[in-house]
Amino acid sequence: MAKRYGDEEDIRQTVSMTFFQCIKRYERKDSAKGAIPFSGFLYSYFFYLLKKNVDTFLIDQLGRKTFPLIMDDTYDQEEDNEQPGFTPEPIEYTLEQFISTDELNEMWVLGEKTILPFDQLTVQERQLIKWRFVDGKKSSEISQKINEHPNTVREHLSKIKLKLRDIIIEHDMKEMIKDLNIKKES
Amino acid sequence: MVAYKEQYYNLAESEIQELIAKAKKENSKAQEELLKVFNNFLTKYVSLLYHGRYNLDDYDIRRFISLFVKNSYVRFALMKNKLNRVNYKHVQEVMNRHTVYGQKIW
Repeated sequence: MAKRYGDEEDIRQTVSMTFFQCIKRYERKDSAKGAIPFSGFLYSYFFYLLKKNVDTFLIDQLGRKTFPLIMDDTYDQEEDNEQPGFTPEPIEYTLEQFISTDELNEMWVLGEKTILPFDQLTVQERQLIKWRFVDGKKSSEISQKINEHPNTVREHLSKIKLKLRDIIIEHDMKEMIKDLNIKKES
Repeated sequence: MVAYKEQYYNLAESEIQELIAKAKKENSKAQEELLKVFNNFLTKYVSLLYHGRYNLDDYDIRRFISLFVKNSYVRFALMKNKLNRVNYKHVQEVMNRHTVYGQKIW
């Protein structure tokens, strides 16, 4: 089924990850017939979660369209528009503070521990953010994972960045606007 | 199709609960143990997804495949394990990933 997408290891990892997600979510509850065993929970829940993960990690990634080549790798470079006058020293935030969660894991990607503005992104967009900025993967490495050209990955990341900016402005998240020096008119 | 012999785990529920409690606390040994215990259960999904081998007599597999089938009539027949030739072909096409939700994926 997914043979043409990736290797067996990808699929095995997706299945194992789903299994651990089930374990994480399982809480032993009593029913009229007694306590619900783990197997009962697993058999009734696993396949739904696996379908979701197969779509996310094995199928949807290929649905991405390809964008034109970007000749210069300028994605990581800051725009150096100098402002006149005194500018206070930027406060150093950790990545976790910006992303507003203590753990940057697959659950965050799936949207379970995600808050504004990242909850407005799709699972695929959060996955790209995690790979690029949390796992520190290069665009070329990500491109191999999702079967796309590196420039397409950069284009996706640029679009996500713009989308996040728009979400922050739309929700008037003053602290983030200030901390990230976002200009509303741009 | 390859027939599977479904083998359920034979650990006591209390032992499973103990392993789950440890696994929730990121105990890697407990996680590995659980993967071993549920190896048969998990492997049938790997076989389906990677090798395309599945057994429609398995209720878990039928429920999983049914999530990919858009046609509600075929889905219902699949859940009841009463597929006719046309519906069976439809399911096979879905599992061959030529079309899912009317879109060519691969």
